[in-house]
Amino acid sequence: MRADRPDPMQHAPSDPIARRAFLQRMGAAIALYGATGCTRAPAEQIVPYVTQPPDVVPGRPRMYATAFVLDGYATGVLVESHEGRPTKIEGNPEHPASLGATSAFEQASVLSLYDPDRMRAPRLNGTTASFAQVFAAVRRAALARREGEGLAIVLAPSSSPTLARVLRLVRERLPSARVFFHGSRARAAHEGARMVRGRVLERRHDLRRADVVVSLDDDFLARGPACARLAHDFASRRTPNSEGGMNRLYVFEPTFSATGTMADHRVRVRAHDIAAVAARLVREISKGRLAVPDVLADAAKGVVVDALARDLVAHRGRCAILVGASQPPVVHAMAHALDELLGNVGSTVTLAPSPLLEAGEPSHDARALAAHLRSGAVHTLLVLGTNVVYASPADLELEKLVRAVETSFYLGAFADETADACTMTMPEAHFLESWGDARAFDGTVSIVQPLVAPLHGARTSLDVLSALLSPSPQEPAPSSHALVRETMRVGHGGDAGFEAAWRRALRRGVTDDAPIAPVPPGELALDRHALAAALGAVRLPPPGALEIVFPTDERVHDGRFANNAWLLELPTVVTKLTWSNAATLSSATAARLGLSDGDEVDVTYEGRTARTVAHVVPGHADDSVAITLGWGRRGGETNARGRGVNAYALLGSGEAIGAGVTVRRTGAARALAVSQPNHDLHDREHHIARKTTLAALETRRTEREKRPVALPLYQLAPADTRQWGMAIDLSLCTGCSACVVACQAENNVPTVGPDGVAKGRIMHWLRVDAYVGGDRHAPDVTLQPMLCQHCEKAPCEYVCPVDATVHSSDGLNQMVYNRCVGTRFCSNNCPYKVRRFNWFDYHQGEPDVVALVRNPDVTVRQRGVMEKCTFCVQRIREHEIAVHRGDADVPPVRTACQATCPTGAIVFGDLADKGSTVARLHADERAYGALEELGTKPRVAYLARTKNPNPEIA
Amino acid sequence: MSAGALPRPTRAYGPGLDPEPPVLRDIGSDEAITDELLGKVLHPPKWLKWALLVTAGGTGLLLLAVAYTLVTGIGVWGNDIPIAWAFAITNFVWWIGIGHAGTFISAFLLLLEQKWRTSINRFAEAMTLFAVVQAGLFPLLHMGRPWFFYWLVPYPSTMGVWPQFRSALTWDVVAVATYLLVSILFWYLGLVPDLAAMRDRAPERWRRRVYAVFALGWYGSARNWSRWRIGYGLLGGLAAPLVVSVHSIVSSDFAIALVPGWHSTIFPPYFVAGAIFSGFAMVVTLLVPARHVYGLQHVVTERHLDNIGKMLLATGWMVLWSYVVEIWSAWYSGDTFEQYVYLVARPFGPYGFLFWTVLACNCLAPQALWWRRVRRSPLVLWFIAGAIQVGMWTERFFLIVTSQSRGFLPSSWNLYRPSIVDVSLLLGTLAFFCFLFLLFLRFVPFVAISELKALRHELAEEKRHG
Repeated sequence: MRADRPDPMQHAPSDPIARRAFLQRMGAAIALYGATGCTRAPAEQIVPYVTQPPDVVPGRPRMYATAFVLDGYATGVLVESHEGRPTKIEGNPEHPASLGATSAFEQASVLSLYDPDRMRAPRLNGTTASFAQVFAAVRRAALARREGEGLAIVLAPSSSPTLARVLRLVRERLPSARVFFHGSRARAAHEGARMVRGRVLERRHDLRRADVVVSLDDDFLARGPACARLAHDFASRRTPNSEGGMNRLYVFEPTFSATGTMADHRVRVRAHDIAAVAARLVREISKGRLAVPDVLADAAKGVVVDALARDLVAHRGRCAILVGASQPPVVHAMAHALDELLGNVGSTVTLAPSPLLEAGEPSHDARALAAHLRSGAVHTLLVLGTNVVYASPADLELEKLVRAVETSFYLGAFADETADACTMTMPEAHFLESWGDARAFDGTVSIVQPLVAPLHGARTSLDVLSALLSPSPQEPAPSSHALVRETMRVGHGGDAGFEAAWRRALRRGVTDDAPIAPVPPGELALDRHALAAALGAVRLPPPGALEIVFPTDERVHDGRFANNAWLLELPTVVTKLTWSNAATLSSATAARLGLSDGDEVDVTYEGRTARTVAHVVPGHADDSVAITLGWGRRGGETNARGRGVNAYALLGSGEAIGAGVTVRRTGAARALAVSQPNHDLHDREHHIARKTTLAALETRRTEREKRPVALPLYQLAPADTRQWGMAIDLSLCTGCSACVVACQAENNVPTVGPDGVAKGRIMHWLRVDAYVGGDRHAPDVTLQPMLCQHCEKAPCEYVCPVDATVHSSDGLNQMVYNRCVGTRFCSNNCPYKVRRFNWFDYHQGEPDVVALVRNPDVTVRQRGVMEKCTFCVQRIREHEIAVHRGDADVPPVRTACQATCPTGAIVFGDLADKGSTVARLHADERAYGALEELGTKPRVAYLARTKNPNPEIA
Repeated sequence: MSAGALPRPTRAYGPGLDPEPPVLRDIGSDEAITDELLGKVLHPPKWLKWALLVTAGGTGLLLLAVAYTLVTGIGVWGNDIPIAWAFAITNFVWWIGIGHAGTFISAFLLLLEQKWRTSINRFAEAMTLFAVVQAGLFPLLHMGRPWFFYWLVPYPSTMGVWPQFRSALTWDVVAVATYLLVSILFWYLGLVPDLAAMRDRAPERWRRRVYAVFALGWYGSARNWSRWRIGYGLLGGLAAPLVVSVHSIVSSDFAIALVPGWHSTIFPPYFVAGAIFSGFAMVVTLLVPARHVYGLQHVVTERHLDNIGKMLLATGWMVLWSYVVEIWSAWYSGDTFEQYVYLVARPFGPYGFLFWTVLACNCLAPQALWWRRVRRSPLVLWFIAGAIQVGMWTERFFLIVTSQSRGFLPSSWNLYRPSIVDVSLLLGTLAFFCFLFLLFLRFVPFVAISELKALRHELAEEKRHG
């Protein structure tokens, strides 16, 4: 063949363009043919790896350790990544704040990474600009005056050692610049410690040692920087068979929290009156050694407080008193006093310096920031990763003040309220896109490592501060990666062995550094005079006066998660409200104010008025109205905007508790999206959600009560494979709902929006049912995680006309999506109502970026098919494949809900293995099957919710 | 009459004492009957065009609602979890029930040699057919993925998967399909001699052609008649058990389920009685106006109305008895879930007003039929039938929805509110049903002329011998 004539046969395959164009056209043609039929095949390009990365095996996820930071405190997490795409978050068992579990926030945070509303590009004076342009403008403005004069930097509360180091450098370079931390939730605790201990110390609790636990308005089991850890430790003493005996929990609180549902004795009190409860405890326990004004101590009434005081004295050194972040410093100070009186220091509680930077300093005060801005001394304001304009008390008028600053820069994830007020904005990196570091509640350092390059080229606070430090704009600033490494190298004391330590830290998720050591008890003293003075200054609103409380929200926190659909659709603990907040109050207070549930109301506090909906919550304290923070957003986030009411607009002077509020009906009514409208068990307790007490259990053990045995109608064939089953200990379920979000993330469960929830179409495969019983005003709440029970004699299976739901040999009730035609007979016949129907094509029309969060191991369901809990069949099969392959050290199967549960309430495993935990729990004396008398033979065993009430009170 | 035979009881009281009005009144010669009844088809009244237009508009609404549902998904309905079945299934059961009276009249009464059936059987059969068409629409639409409806049909699939025969929905497919097929055959076979008459009498050539095709070459020979009678009787024998079977099977959609309020062995007879009850009510609803407008008082006499009224009364009592037994057995069972549904949720729950509506319409209203004058007064009968229609629809809705809304787990209790699409589908099928019925009046001899003539001869014979 002549050389000058190209060989078409050789040319064609080497020309990828021609081949791709051909395939594209073919694809389009086939798609068009397909359009005439019933199924649609998307014309998409599939580009395989040209060179496969050595570590990546397509289809096999990889786990990376990093840390999730909320309010400055880190929780260690392991992130599942599919071909570079983070999809699921698990707790890091090696991290002290996680121990393998997480809260709902960590579970949902991965959805925020793919939020289509995230800021896409920097903006400069209202127009899109490049990162370089904005960095240059920031440098110019920040360094315009000598020594950083007129420069103010606002940061989110942080415990990052690298940030501490960089801030030191910034202050060296720009000594006149002012730094503020915005939105700290630990201020009251820090001030209380300073009041009586003379320095800022944080109380760390060891609930494994506590026989008696008291919560003073603290939802410690579901919220706070150490909630997963506290819940874990609490649970270790919460079952009748716990080593060391079952603990006893007293909760005093205004709103019904998850922790409140766990209480053996829950007392509804106004948030103000918590101080009186604490004061009475101090008076009763100190027996006069500490001066407590009688007017204060006498304001707390009721048998429970006095019985509690005796119970605490009886368990000296083995009790713990936890105080909520929204309580004033004096209550925290009294907790310190009680620690001393009860000899708990060094046993159940230790005191240690806060891991937060500048903890307890005035720089944490939003009022100081406002005053500084108002003084007019600021010409350049850098707001890094905190929505100051929204999440600040209305009377500080921060929006006006920020707008008045000549040059203002905002590094934020969304085009939110602060972005709107600033002249320059830049997208902030999600923590899964960032390098950084942070400390846990006990000071343990974790490295935050990115799982994915920033989707929209976003930057971190460290990047911005680093840009200020570089000597000239031409010289590239050190990256946050380099900064974090440098910090660790300094801490490591040189290069020797540093690489290995760095790699180890990245792999484990925690560094080798020791946690912050507690202060030895001998070095601690209690300032009785300061406490007495503070107690003398406490003024309670008169009994019957209406108070208002502004707690952070259990779903959107302070508004930062307000665009996260998984959290928005997460029902609240007791009333199962979704997609909104409301003015919650008790039925007695509602009756006194002439309100009923769903009435639109105007709430007026200190001259400011907000319009919201009255929502009656059983067990809410009388004369107390609560509106959670974080709602009523008006930024550019589509899910968040206009939902609920902005409590910051009411919040005066920054205190979370206020008195002198009026609530007035407007006459209109609004429907709230509630996922569980009925909370009454209708005397079905024994069939569905059983309760007992420790004393009753012990009586039963001695009496050897005969349990009715149902005669078997069918003999089950002996199993030759593993038989999967689950046990859920209702004594341990706090209702924190982390499992619900974990299930949603693992199984690609869609959200349906408030209208869908109101119509009864919520898609959660796992829900936490709340039953309210007992006294109507001071009810007892029973929580029951409800999911597919994988009945051995499943009522759903025999009614399906097309065999779309069938039983597997290992005991799973399987749902075959491909075969389902959607008659919904299975749902009707399911006594547990755990089946969910795709009423619409819920995934249709969602932005491409949202699809990235989907778990590739789980089918995304089409319109018109039924779905339900699969016992995470994808995890079971993955495990079986690994075992079959002969892999070493195959970890046991853990369902998504089980893996994230901080208390270990959910146990999954092989029932055929009589030695397994799940088999043991199925045989427990407290075990029963929900509605077992129907003969469904559920594979989920519930363990009756056991309480340990004080015999003196009962 | 032979000497040994006993005299008929009515005759024993002598002429003039017969309390029953005649089955036919002054209908003249065979030819006159044919002319008259065919004339009503060949020269339709003026209003018919407008009525067709209006009902076609309603049918358009139905098509819109169907298209919207198919394109968007079942989510446009008001259904939820736990109320996964609501309007669509209610409508299905109600329409199927209405169909029952047709088959009952044509097949059961044929086998029982009830003479009064002749004047109304064609009418009732058409009603059956059109009602079953409406009914058949709903299970299809109701599916999440209706394009796979054929998976419920046992056919040799390449996937090697059969329907799941333990499910009542699979039985439903067979039962309803059989019913539809037999109803069509029965109705059509009965129609053949009259279609031949139409072929012979129609003024336009094209119409004669069309009728000729459907008349299947009928020429009225004795052989024709002989074969026809055998075939008609056989089909009647085949159709009669269907009256019982179809609604028994439809009722097992509920009875085989665990749901408290559905799980009941009384459902099959209870549903069949209810079906015939509502079917006869529908016959009255259609017959009374048609009789008036078309001047059929001599063919459809007070005797027919009286008999239908008695049927309504009898089936109404069966239904009432079923209610009582159902509630009693719920109480007697000692099952807390059943007791709650029957004794608390249904009478006093959020849907309580429906319970009392059902009692008023289905149990109280028919008691007026104890009076002969009420039974023979077309207007009053028509209103009572209307009440029964409303009552029976409400009963089905109520039975289906309350049980689902108050199931085992109180956490999952919820309510159902119909959406505009739900209502459009119900109204749309009503319009479509009327539209089909008007078409039937327009194009088909709606009284079985040949059978009527035979009956006339039979009666004349009887009189002569009497």
